[in-house]
Amino acid sequence: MSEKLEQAGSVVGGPGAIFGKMRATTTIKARVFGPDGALIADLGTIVGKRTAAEAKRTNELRKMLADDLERSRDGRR
Amino acid sequence: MAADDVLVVNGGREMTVDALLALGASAPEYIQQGVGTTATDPAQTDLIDKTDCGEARVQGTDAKVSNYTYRTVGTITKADADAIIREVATFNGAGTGSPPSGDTMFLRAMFDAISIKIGNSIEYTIDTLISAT
Repeated sequence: MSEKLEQAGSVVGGPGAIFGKMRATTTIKARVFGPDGALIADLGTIVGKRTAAEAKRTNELRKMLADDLERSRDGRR
Repeated sequence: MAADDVLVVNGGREMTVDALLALGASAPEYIQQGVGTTATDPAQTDLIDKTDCGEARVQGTDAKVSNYTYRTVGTITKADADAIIREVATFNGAGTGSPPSGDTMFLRAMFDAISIKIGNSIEYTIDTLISAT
């Protein structure tokens, strides 16, 4: 059974609709690395089709990054 | 009489990807990010909000993935300030100034927030599939 895909983000541009029926579809994946080059978070697909499981994982990582940034700011105050 | 019908066939799709790659240093492989939240629109020519995003555009590495997908991969390291990134765009040049502007924007994408601290980096893999329909 195939898992339902959902759309993340939005995109405009590329060579879409230049010729007849041709279209362009853009997918963007993102990974976050620390100053030492170590992988902090593999966010997966941030723009484009993704499964519900992928979306859940991405959102968990987004929250982790947001919490980390908040702690960092608190430490500087 | 049959109705008019036209389709860019697979050969044409591949030629389109090859044409982008053949642009060399003028290919849309320069990546820049911002914090703007305005919805995407075909008339846009630049990122919407570059607050705390003064870093230079990164010239990514482009490639043909499968026969019909143009890929750009590049990593932007936050240098000037923490930021909550919400948009990314590709251009056909490095632009000028800080934050950079100018040259032609190829695509702009908006997405849910990515919180990023100074010193950390985001690696973007941007795939544009040339579809037949």
